[in-house]
Amino acid sequence: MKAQETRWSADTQLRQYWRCWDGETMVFLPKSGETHCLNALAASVLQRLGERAMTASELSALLRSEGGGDAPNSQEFDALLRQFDELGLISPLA
Amino acid sequence: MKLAALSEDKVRADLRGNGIRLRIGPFAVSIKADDEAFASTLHFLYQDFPLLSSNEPSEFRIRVDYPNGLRRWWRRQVRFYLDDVQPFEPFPSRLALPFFEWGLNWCIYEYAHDFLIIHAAVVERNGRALLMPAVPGSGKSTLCAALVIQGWRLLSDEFALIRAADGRVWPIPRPIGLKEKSIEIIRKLPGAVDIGPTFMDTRKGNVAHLRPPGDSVNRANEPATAARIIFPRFQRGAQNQIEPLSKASGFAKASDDSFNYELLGAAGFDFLSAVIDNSECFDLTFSDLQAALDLIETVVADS
Repeated sequence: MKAQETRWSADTQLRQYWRCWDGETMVFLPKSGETHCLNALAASVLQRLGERAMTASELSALLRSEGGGDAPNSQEFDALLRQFDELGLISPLA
Repeated sequence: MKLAALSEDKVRADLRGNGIRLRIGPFAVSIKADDEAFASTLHFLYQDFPLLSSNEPSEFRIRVDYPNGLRRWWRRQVRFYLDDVQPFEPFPSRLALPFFEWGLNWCIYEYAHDFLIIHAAVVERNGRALLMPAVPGSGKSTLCAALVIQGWRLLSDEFALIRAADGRVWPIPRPIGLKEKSIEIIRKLPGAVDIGPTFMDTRKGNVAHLRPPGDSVNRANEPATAARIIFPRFQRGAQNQIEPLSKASGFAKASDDSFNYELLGAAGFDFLSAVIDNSECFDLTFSDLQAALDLIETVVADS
């Protein structure tokens, strides 16, 4: 039986402390007190996970459907999401 | 009333008695000291600063005095106190004035957390501030002094003080600390007449102070909106160049140069974001002062 994929959701406070300048985004996470610099892909992923919870496969499919033919595959998204999770930017839905 | 209204003898007597109380930027500072040379140099460098009435509370109550015992007479030393706290080891007494300056810096970055504090020189022209954040030895004070002599308003040689999400920087004009060769470079500039005594062999080498212009001190309650952030780096023999920097990189560098960005948390993020929103950022590498000033002028010409 295939293990169920984790669904991820972004910290809701991120919207409040979010600045984008020329394709680079700075975001502040109150609960860790840390500021992160995101490239366009990372910012886009985080933004979408702030809108609704998704799995890595769903994210990959969504970005590909929007014309991002060279969007990362779901394994690469897995790695990105694990990094976000370690930083406290996203969390798995129970 | 300004400090200059008091005679040097009166300043010396007051420093030994109840103290001299000055408005220094947004701070009320009470100073007590028992040193003739200190009194004389304070009277010269702070002559345009407003005196405070005795019933106005002071944020910082500073005392510069001598230890009891042998060190009062032999290889005389001086101590710095903030209230009853002595944060530093004593200095040689001939360095009382630079010790006071460094001590006051410490008071500000240690306690003034109403502000986001960035280690930066700040000057202003036409209501728009130019911030130059940098680590020591980057040439920020030399650039700052040269720009001030050219007519820019001095907001600070040491701190960019930001306390609201409007991107405005609050002035704290104080004597500009010059080190080593910069002292002679600045002294040779036309108009650089107000340099105090040179203090030899401090922990930072030889040090002297350019007196802040009276107009800058008079306008110490007028904040300015940030418009340019230039990160200077003096490098002997380097090609002089100025290059645009992305706002995100400018944000990261400025937060690294802040004393309390992390301490302020979300407020620090908001305050610094507002500064970056309003500003264009640049990296400046220079080996020649005039070339650096010319490069700065190319990126502030429209501000």
